[in-house]
Amino acid sequence: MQPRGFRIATKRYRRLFWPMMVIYVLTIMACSGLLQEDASPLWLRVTCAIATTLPVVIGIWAVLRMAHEADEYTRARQIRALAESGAMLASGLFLTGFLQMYDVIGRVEVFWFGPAYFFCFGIAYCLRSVGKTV
Amino acid sequence: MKNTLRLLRTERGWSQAELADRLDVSRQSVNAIETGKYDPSLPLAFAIARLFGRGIEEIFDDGQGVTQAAD
Repeated sequence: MQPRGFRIATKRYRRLFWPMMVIYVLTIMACSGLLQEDASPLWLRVTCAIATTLPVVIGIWAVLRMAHEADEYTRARQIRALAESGAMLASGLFLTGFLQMYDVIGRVEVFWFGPAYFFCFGIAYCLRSVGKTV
Repeated sequence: MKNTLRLLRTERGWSQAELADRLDVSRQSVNAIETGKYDPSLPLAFAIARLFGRGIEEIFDDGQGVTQAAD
């Protein structure tokens, strides 16, 4: 991956990210239909889990590629937002873990930490937009 | 760092988006540089200087020039 300038980087990002999100939604719908019965075989459940995760992983890679190829200011903002969202998520994970350990809260679905990361990324990116420096 | 980017841009009647397009950076980058929120790297500063046909020091001022000259 080489810096390519903002225009090409954005075009390459959009060409990969949005189709992956469409595939992600379609896969969820297809897998929900396939796994309606509790008696679904293990191999099918594992395949569905991997198939649904794959477009998300490619989407994350598209974000990282965009960060690498875009202009320096966009790159700096994105990398900082990625780092800050990671820090926010790690803090949330620790807090949730201790709350569970001390029997304050019940079972928490691990799944939600994924969307939480992207939510944190969005917050960090927007906050950076109104910040004084990069 | 202070700069005259906004002045040079408006002299040519360019919008921030137009300048961003010419430099192949995001419009937010141009805005951040103009408002002093972000100092460009040397390659980008050279690209800006080249685009406007000026020297880097004519566009960007770190406020140290007078002090150093006096030293």
